Amino acid sequence: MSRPECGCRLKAARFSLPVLHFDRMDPQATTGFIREQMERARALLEDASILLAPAACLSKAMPDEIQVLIQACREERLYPVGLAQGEAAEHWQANSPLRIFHTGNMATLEESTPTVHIQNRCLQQMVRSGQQAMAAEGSLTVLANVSATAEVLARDDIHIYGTLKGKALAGIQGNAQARIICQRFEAELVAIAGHYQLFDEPDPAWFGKPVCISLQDDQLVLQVFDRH
Amino acid sequence: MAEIIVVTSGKGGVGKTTSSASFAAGLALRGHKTAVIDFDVGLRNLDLVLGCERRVVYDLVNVIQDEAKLHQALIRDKRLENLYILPASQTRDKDALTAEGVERVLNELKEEFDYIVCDSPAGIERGAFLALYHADQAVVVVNPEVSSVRDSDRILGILASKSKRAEENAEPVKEHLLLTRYSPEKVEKGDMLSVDDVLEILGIPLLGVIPESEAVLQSSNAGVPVILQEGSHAAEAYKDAVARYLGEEREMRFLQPEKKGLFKRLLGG
Repeated sequence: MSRPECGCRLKAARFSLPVLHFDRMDPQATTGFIREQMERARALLEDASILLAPAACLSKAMPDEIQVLIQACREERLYPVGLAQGEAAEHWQANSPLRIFHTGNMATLEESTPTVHIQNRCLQQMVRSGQQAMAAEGSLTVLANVSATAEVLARDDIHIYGTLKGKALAGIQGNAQARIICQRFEAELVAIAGHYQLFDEPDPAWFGKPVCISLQDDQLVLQVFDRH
Repeated sequence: MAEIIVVTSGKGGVGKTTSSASFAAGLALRGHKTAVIDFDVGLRNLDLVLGCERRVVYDLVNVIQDEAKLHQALIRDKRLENLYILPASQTRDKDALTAEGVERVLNELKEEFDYIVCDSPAGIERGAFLALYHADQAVVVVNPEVSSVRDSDRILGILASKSKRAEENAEPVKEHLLLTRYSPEKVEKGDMLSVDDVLEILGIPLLGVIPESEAVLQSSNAGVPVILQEGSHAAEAYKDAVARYLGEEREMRFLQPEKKGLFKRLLGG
């Protein structure tokens, strides 16, 4: 989106704004609340831009009521610049100069947050039928077999240095870069970031072979390591 | 220090009770004072297999509920002086067993016996759980057949996560595989899982392989543990398994189909 010749560029950016939630049209109560908050965190709030988040019950507020509320905020040196998503937001957008801010979903937010605590797990013993082993905060390594009907799950990669006969689910919080690597592949099911595949018909092309599974363009790709 | 051994499998009908009886009798034969407890409350069988069903007066539930003393309920085997049986109740169900009660009975037995063999009921419900909870060692009885292997895998998982040793982070329960009803002829034809197939799936050390044998059924019906049927292959295999359990090295027998001699073939045997 950049056109250097005109000196303009369009880029996406994230801002963190305070959001004022309220469930009644009472400018006096609202300004009272704002003053109280100002006392506590003046440096943070004074002259700040904020979003308004009217509760669902305010989806029939009158245009002049809305205007009065916005004005009340401004007088307290808080400047509404938009509306947070919500049931009443459409109505407020139609009846005020404020636009709805689309905040995006939580999943993308979490993904962009750098993870500080990566906790990989390593299991020495077999994961047996009916058992489930999970690395909720990182990768999972199993140094033994994963039995039929057993489940291994990880936020990131799964490495199995034995036979995988059960189910393996990698990238369970949406990490599409996660991989499943195992020494002997006889799995019933694998999944990466919610894309899953059943293996109900064993195929000699991969059955019992060392395999790496990854996600490419929303497709699970099974790569067999041939031992030449 | 007494050792508690659970004989378990998950699946029913694989030979837990037969193996408990023979294993306990085998330990007694070797001179160890052994008690065998039937945990299958409501479906008691161990007394039949050991031929003492007409001598049951008090049972495990009576002892747990303080209606009888332990030595009133223990039945001494008529053939083996070192073997005692603690039968299950037939009129109650498994809810009559309490964790504290079982622990108390086991602690009392530990003072007097070298080995305590717990014959677990099938399934993974309360009775099976209480039978394995206190175990030091586990004999997992498996038939060479996929559903039995799957259920045993499940039981091994429970042993590793829910036993007392697992809860207390102590040394894990020592696991042994006892493969029963093995038929080398069927394995050769590809109709049955082989020893190696089962070992590959379960990944625990092999204690013994008991061949499919007429003698097992006959001795069960006669109320004699099969290990006492002199000359039968099953008896020999059980004796080997007990010896291995006690630390002896014994070669695995009865893994190959029997070679039929000329005479047998002529006689159509």
